[in-house]
Amino acid sequence: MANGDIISGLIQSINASTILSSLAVLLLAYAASHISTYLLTGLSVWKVLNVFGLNRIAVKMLIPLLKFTFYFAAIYYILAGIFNIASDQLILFSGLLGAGLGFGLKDLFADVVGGLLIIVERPYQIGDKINMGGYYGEVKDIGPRVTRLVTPEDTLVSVPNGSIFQNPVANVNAGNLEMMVVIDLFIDPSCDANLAIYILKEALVTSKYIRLSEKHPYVILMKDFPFYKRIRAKGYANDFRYEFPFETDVTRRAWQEFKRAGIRPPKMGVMEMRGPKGESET
Amino acid sequence: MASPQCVIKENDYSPELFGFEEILKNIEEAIEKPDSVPRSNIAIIAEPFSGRSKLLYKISELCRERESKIFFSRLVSDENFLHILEKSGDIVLVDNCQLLYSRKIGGFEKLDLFLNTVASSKKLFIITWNQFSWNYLRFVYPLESIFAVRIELPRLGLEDLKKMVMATCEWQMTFTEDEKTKKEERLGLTEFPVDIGPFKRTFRVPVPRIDYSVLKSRFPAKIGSSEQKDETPVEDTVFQQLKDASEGNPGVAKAIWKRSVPRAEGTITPGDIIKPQYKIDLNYDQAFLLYIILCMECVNIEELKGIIDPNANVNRFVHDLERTGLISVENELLSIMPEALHSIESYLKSVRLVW
Repeated sequence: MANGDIISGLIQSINASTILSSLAVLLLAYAASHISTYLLTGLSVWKVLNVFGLNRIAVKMLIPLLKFTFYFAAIYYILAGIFNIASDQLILFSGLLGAGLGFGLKDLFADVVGGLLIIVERPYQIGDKINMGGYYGEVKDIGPRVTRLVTPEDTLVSVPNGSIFQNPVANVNAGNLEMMVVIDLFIDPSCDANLAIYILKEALVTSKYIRLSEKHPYVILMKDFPFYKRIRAKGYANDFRYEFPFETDVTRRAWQEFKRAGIRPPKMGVMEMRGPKGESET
Repeated sequence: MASPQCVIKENDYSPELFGFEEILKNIEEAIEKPDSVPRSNIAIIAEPFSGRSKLLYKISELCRERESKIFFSRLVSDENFLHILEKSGDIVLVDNCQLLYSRKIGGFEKLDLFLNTVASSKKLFIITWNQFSWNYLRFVYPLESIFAVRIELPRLGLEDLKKMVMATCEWQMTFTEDEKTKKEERLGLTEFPVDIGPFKRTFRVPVPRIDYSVLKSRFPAKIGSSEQKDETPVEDTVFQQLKDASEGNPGVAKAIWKRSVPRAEGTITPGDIIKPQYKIDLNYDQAFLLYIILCMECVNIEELKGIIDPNANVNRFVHDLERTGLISVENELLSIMPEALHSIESYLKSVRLVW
């Protein structure tokens, strides 16, 4: 069959009926992906899951996979079932698609491929806390084109999936519910640092949000700076949703006790007198 | 030697001890070791109502007056116990060590002193510890190096459970199969409650109920014989149900038995043994409060106020927990209801406070 015949056959098959059928199939795929997302989100908070050793992230992992399956099945059905495109026609169609990508759809294509890579390589999953494209937040949805994050300020951010090719992605909890939280308290250098360490340790281990196990130890560190001392506590919150309540709980109770023990914060203004770049972050 | 603070809980279910014979034998061997042989301290770790105190009491009988006993029944508030430790014999028995600390800043002082004393002593320490408390504390303190031998109490088997209940019962028990049980020996449907968060309601999903005893009778060659089923005495069915409902915990079994068979006469049917069901829905602070009660086993409301968020209304939380039947309050002392123990444990696992 000549190429001209294929293109004319394809154009001839486009009519009101095939367009409506295609739209109906896309609508069905859209509805199916939303219903499956809704049901799996509901299932993920089902407490019985714990009995089977599953957590909500394990269930939510299925959401992007199902979405892609629905959309690709819909596209395949539209091309093969409605437009009756044979394999040689499909190759031609791919050529046309390639041309289209070259002209203006390359970003969209990069986002879709990025979405597929996210499913296969799993640099993050729904429910993870990540830093992506300069935004930090909990992954709420991985769609075919964008990943949606909710920041601690409750702002919904849509980051194109294609950005994983250009920017690194930092995943804080990597599929686990536990999450390490780093809490820094700064004290005046003349205060008793040993006592401060002792108090911060007790504030950390007695927090209602802490998770302690072989895999989730805690550590207290101290660093001496010219005009202040930094006491750092590292511990795991039992659920990354408690990241900020955990930090608040430990900080509040530690400072309450510091005050009783006569441990003071550094003098005003000294915190701005940092050492060489990056020193305070170690 | 006389025991200084001897208050024993858990001793009301039976004058005898069942199911711990092997443990007692091993501990006796450890006690009998000559002084020249280095001895390892022993920690007996178990969930509430499992007979820890009773076991320790039995151990004291094996010591032949070489021991000193400290039975803590309330949160330890002073250091008097240290004097007893100093003057004690070569074996020291300490019950309910979870009462040596309170989960708050500055709440570990007594525990620090106790552990330092144990670590530097040449005496043999045999202690008991709440399992939930131990599982938390072992990642805060090097408990496992101080108590090198750890014994987890086994769950009671059918025979031991039967003996335990029979020993406490003062009336002649008659067991009979009830109509309800007979009717349920069919393949059918039962409803399973499913709580799905976003819908904010409970759905009752029908699931098939399979009676394996009926299947066994249909396929005698492969699974079992029909004669076996007929030979199972009703008495064993009753106690098997009690064992399943209590998960082999003697205190829980006793509580379920008391609720299920409140009368002191008549017949007992398998249908009488009912495991209480609890619908637990708490906020995080309430769940944490429940966890603290589970760990300490016996705690005063005022002591809780020092542990829980100062903005939280502890009295209201306590009232809610008492109303749902999860805890009991007696003279301002809070403790877990035995029959609710495993429901509480499952719930706290689901909210990630127990692991």
